[in-house]
Amino acid sequence: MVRTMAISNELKWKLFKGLGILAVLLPFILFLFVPLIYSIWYINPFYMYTFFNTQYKIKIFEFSLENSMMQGLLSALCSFAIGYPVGIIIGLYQFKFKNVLLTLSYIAFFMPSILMVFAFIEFFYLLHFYNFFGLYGIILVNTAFNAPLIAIFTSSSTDHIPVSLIYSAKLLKANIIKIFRKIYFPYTYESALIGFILAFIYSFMGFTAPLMIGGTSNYTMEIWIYILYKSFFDVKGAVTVALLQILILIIPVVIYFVLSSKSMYLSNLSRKKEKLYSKRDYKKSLGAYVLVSLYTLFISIPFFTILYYTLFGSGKLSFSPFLTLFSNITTYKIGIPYINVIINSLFFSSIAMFLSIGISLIVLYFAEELTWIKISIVLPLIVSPIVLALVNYMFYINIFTNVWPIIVIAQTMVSLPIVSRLIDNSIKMVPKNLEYSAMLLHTRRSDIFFKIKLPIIKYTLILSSMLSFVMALGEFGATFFIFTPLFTTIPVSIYEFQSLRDFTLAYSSASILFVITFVILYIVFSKEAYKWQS
Amino acid sequence: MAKLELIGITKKYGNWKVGPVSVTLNEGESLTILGPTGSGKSTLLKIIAGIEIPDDGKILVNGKDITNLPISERDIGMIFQDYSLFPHLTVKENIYFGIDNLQLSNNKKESLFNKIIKALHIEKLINKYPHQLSGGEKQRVAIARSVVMKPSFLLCDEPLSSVDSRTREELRSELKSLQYTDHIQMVYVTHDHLEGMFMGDKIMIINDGKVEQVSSSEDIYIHPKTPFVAWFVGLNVLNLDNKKIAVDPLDLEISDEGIIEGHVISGRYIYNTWIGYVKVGSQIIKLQSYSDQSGYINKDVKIKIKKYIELQ
Amino acid sequence: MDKIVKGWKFKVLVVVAIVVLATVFYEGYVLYAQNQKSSKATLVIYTYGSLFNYGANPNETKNIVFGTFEKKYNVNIDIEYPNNIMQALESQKSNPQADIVIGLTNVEAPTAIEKGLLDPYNYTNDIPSFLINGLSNNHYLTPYEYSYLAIDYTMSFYNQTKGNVSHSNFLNFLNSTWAKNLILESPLTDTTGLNFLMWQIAFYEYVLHNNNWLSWWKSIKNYALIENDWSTAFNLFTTTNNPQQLVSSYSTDPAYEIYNNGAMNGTFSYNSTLSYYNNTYYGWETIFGIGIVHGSSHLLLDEEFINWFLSGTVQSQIPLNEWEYPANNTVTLPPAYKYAVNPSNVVPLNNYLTQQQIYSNMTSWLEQWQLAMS
Repeated sequence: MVRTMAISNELKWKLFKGLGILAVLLPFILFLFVPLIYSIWYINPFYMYTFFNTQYKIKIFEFSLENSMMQGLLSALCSFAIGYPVGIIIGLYQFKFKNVLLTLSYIAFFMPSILMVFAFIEFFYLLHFYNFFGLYGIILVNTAFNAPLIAIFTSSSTDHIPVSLIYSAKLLKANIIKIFRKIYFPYTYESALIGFILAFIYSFMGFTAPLMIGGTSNYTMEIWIYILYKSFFDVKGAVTVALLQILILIIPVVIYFVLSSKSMYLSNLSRKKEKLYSKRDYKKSLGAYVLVSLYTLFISIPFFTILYYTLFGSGKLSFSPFLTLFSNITTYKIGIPYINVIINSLFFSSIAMFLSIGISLIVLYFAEELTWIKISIVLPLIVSPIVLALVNYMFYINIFTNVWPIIVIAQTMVSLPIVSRLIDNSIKMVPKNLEYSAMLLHTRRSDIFFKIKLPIIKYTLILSSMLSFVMALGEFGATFFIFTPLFTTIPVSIYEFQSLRDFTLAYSSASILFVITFVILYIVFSKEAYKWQS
Repeated sequence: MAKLELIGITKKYGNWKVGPVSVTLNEGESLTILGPTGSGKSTLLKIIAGIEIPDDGKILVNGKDITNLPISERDIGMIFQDYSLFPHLTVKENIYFGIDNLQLSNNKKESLFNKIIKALHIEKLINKYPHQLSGGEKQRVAIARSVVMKPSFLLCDEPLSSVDSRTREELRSELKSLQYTDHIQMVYVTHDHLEGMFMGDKIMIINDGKVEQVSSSEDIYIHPKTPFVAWFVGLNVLNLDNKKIAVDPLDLEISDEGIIEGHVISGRYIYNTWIGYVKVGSQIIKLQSYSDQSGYINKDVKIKIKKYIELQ
Repeated sequence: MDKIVKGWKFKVLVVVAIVVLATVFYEGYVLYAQNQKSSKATLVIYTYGSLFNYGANPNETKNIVFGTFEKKYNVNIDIEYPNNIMQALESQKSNPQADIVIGLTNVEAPTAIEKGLLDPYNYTNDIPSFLINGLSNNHYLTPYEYSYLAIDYTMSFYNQTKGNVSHSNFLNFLNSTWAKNLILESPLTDTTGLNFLMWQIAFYEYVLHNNNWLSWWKSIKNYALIENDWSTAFNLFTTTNNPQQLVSSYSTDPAYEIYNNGAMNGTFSYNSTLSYYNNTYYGWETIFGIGIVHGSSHLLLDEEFINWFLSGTVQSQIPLNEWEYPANNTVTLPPAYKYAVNPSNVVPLNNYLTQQQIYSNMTSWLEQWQLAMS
């Protein structure tokens, strides 16, 4: 590694580097390590093993582990089976609504889980298909989330294939299968594999889908932690299982870390993408056309379902459900007026957004060169939302009288990894020569960061902020675990309405969340945003 | 004005090494570092700037060791091939970026600014953004931004490679004039030997990380030491009686008295000079003449050597 | 000045200031929402969301129940609906936020008492002893309403089974045709489900003398629908065109049904049954209690409130708003209640399954249940 800063004073450099490491680690110390260690201490670590004091507990553990594994693997496989071909097709062919498709894929991945699950349930009800519940339903929903992820990874990695290779192959009269095997596959399988592992991890930690459509026989470890804490009042049990889940997840997360260090997986928001070469007319390949159409329909199901039910739920086009939403009826049902729910959601998401961006910038200011960034981005993957909520709740409830700061902490940690990675990628794209020029003009390091780097990545910062806002807004698992009625958020309200089977209110609330999320995500991921770049 | 000394500068990259490089620049002198792509010229420049730290050796400015000094504490300016203007700032803001870091009164800063934009003829551009400028204009702004800080040395990393050739000549002359008007000493890196010999008072030819020769600009052409140097500065390198010699293209003549046999493969009479290429064995040598020799194209000829330099 | 405003330090300060201000405002809003008027004493009650919600005019009812007390004693009543009452009480044990808890049942009572979450208050006026003994004979909780759990069935199912459903018990549900129609609640997530489990265990062990209660669950597992909570289950049952015709609910539901839907033509679309075996009806009482949270700073006020809550005025609101039997036996039941199961004909299985047994075995039973259903 090339050292780019000359050392004038050994001590000053060591201090700065130390500050850097501290800055990177601080949020994780505060919101991961300390609460986790406190929780373990609280339940007496020496006797954690006594949690498994009955044969039932051991069997339940086996079952929940099995469920988590099954759901993780099957969901990842299905997502790969759908996402990889679609990704290749997006990379291979040029067609008119390609950008819309990519944007929709991004949106599908970042959609709040509660919306997805709810929409799919309602979609299958609409079709009078009542057997949606159970393992297949869970896998279906997970696939709807993760297939787009794999499609995105795959298609963006096709961008790195040198054009000349494909031209050469075609001039040498290779057929499409050979081109795929020899060129496309070697370049894309790594990205697709990374997507596969992520899909596995997210599905393993599933909470919303198993909770709403799984039933006891499909409880994941995540749900078991929830049940232990809420129904059995077994804090020791909850923390023990949480720890076990963390240990189990270390393996796939390490694999993910190793693989992703090599490649930039999420396409860079700040770089304008240009299609350098024209591709075959898609109409010539009917199979590809059909697959892409099916895929588009599949990931659009939630969008259509929610809109349909909201507007036409009462039989005709009507906005009266929204009036009901803002009336006293909501207060009877969930304990607070809906306007308060909106205030809560907006406030929590805004603060979480500021914290995410702020932490990312602080970390990048001090530790731009360090590998710690990559590690820090990966750490929250090991700790699932429920566990995050659990340990933070146990630690911070003694410090904060109300539960809302803990909700904000959970929402911040959920969006931090992706957001900091995006900003990091973007800062790395700023040409080094600009930095050197500034240094040669005797500019201070802080000025270089704030006057040069940040203004240049201004649009990435704005778009990343919007993304982190949306992620915090749609967060369900952690918030649901620790909220009290006064701090209900929009996703939680959707769950509560639907569990009271008040679908009018559920749809109205869902559509509000959906519209906000969709609009913001569309702005973030559509090509329109790139036109703002100078 | 300052004295620059590079003493035994070495930098390793895996199996490849640059250096050891030793050269002394006296006060008021400019240095050109000349060599093919990948020879290590940019690396040397970065070491002087402080962007990279040498594995061995020292850099002295007026006797003071600056080898480990941070970039921002060196009294050095640098211009790059990609101009490196701050894209989100106007020309004025770009130039003021450095000026603001000087501890001066606002009036002094303004007068510095006005002086430099006049010197580089960019008064009309001050409110424009870099993407609105042409290549030549961008480089002028980059020069202005660096030079206004009155650095002891201006490092130039192939600054004119991206500029079209007519603008290049103009800029080249303006840059060189700064040496005389503002006493800016340059360390100029290029792969164009004519440009290099024009810009630098001293020339260092570097090949594959090793210094082939350090001489004055006039001297390098007259007394090249190695075949590589001779070839690189545009001389023909030939074998004569088992000795390697360097011959200026003007010192070769097509004549029946010639001892070298070859075949003219191409040539062109442009304005008042004829330039031709002759295949001799497996080598291609360059001929220059003030009379049109186009009649010899695609014919076997004999070449006479009027003058030559012996190489080591 | 222009330069200062443009400077990045200023912008950072502005951002931080906005964040701090927003946080301060929000905290203020939270405190406001929690303590509307701080001049008077506030009585904080933890209860479940549907308390007094199922009457004709919930607003008016709540006004009678709570508003009257507020005016009489010049206090504020702040009703909160925690996600999970037991968990809320437990996590606040060292710093209790609530004064009164309404809605803990006989199944949760032992746990709550064992964990020291409640303070006792001896109030027995007009309350039958079987209720007190069934809930907490140490008076940590005072019963205010009760009901028998029942299986609600639609009239079309009644016709389908030629009336047999009204004389059925758990054994009938081993028949897959019956089991397919069943909607139950998970004991892991719902009080009704938990009580249902107790009912089923008690029936098997003390009526059938069969210790293998788990076998019933294993049999119905692939046929019955198990929901996460009672509202979902019950609302699903009452949805038109819903395939399932049976739901685990309360024996007072028919009264609700006739009062709200059947009054016009004297017919009703569903009824309910308990366990019928050897010419006897066996049922499981769910007794709901009101108690004082341990550590409450308003002990005297709490006691007055309990007195009030068990008074005739409040208790007479219960039949038509809570659709349960009031604990106060001086209250006359409205006419619709003749369609509900008459509790005097029922043998309560609570007599067999003591609270001590429930407390000792609860975790194990739930684990076995969870395992069987996985």
